[in-house]
Amino acid sequence: MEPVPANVQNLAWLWWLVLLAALVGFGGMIALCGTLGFGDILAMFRTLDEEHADTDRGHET
Amino acid sequence: MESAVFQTNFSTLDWVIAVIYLSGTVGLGIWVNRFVGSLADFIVAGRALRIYLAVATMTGTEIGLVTVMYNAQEGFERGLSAYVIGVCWFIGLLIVGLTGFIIYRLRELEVMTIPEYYERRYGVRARVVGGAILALAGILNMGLFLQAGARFMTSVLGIGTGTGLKVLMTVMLVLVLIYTTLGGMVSVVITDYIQFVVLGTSMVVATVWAISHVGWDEMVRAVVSHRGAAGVNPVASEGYGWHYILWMIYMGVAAGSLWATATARALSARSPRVAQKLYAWSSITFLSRVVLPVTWGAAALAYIAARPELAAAFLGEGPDKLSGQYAMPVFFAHVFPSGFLGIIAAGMMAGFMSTHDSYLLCWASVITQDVVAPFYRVGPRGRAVAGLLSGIFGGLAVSAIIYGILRTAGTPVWAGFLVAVLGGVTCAGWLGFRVPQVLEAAPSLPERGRVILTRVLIVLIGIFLLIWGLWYEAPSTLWTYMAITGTIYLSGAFVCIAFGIYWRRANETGALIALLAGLVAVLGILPWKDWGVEWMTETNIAVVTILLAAVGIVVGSLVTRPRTPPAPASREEAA
Repeated sequence: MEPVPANVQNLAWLWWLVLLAALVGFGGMIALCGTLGFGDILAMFRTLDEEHADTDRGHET
Repeated sequence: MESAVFQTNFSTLDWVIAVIYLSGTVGLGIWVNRFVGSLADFIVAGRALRIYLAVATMTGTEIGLVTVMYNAQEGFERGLSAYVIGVCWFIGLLIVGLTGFIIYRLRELEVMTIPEYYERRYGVRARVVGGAILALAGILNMGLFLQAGARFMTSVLGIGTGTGLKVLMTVMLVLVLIYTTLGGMVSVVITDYIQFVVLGTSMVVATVWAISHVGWDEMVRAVVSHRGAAGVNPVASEGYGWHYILWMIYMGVAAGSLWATATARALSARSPRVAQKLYAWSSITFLSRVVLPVTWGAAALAYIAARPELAAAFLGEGPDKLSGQYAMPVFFAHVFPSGFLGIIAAGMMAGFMSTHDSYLLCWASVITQDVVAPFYRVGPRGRAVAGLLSGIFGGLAVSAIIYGILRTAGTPVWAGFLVAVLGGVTCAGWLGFRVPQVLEAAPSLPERGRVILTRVLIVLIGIFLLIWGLWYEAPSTLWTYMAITGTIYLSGAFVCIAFGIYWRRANETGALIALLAGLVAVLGILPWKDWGVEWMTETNIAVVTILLAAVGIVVGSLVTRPRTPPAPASREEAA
């Protein structure tokens, strides 16, 4: 296989940095939103449950 | 040759993992449906999403089997240059996230769908036309989802490209249709969250694995050797260039803020501020959803190029040459060990089902709520228009379905064409006669009628996906097909909403011109290159369509005097 020209090698380095940023960023997002998102799910269920309870009370009165 | 290509490490262990994962996800989705109490719960999850869950669910929706397939194909066909698409999306979403452009105001207005905004700002005609174009673009856009999904699964399972592909497409479609009838936004949110964690983690692991297996330097060498400098430099690339990069940044802003399935997440957010933050955060995940699969495609190129039997199948010339879509899954099936392959396949399949669930419900609901229902509020002339339009589109759809079925069954072209035309004309006549009568008989489309119509439409769209996926092959890459079909809707919608929010003079005529200008992008799905018309590229067609829509709304609004003063852009102004 032919050697890679220098200007192409420089661009490849740039893409290497983009790949690293994507990997680190995505990994960080999974850790952060995966953990705290679970708390948000519980909060969403609480909100929806309270809304349904309010609606039910409204129907009874 | 095919047996050497479609080898796989997929084993019984992987089947067990896949079945447990899929049934667990579907079961959980059904269980959480008990929290759905109202239409707002169903469509926008009660507008209760907080930031972390909103980011997780938006990423879960926007990363599916089809996403990784088209991005990996870009990596295989165009090398590392394809990273530029991810960078463009990153810039586009960051612009929306930092400025709140469009999305802040949309969430503030508490609309549930984009066509609803059209009616509020411009009038009912804009809603019907905008809804019809949105549905057309959306259905065409997902036209190759089934084909791409089945290609992934056949490669990972080692089935190959023959009858197995058709059978698997049908099985996957049936699974999707069953799954879709069970869903709603709350269940979608939960399944998307699981998708985000499981598939996201698998994607990071798969990328590290692929690079360590092939080696970064080897990957760069293979890309340059087979794709030239254009494989690393997107400006020098035949398929990309500056026009393409600008189009992609536009797509990042327009599709990020207005593509119905992504917008649904923003409109589900707790507040306009959360909706805006969602975009700033998601810019990172939108970068990754492109960059990681592109890396897999480039790694697959290096792996395939180093093996003569694979190189002959993928990099040779002739009618037997395999589509680049097969490269990544074949690479995975060869190098990933049993167990991990099962997790990847199950995650992808779950992603495939949740993407279809969101899209099928979305487009079928748009036709029911935004195209059909408003016609119950029109006079005799409007009813005649409804009859005419339903005759034309119904006739065309029936002709296409008949032709597709007959051609798939091996009927000669002339016979298929004749029967399709006869069927289409009969259907058009019946609809043209019957639709005005139905509209006149009832004051509005009843709730039960809406549910039945939505379900019928879901099945019809499913049949379309099967037929379209069996005979249509995208002229260039899958992503370019997705981008050009997305442009049919986005070119008009973007200016209608942006000008509607920020320019008081925008009126219904301008909006209708802009929306209809989007139809020019339909030309982009035709195989112009095969017909020798080289300059009719998807990029050129997209740029012209975007400009036409922008000029259309400005000129149309300025030259026609509005019958009423400019409509208020928000409820506060109306009050």
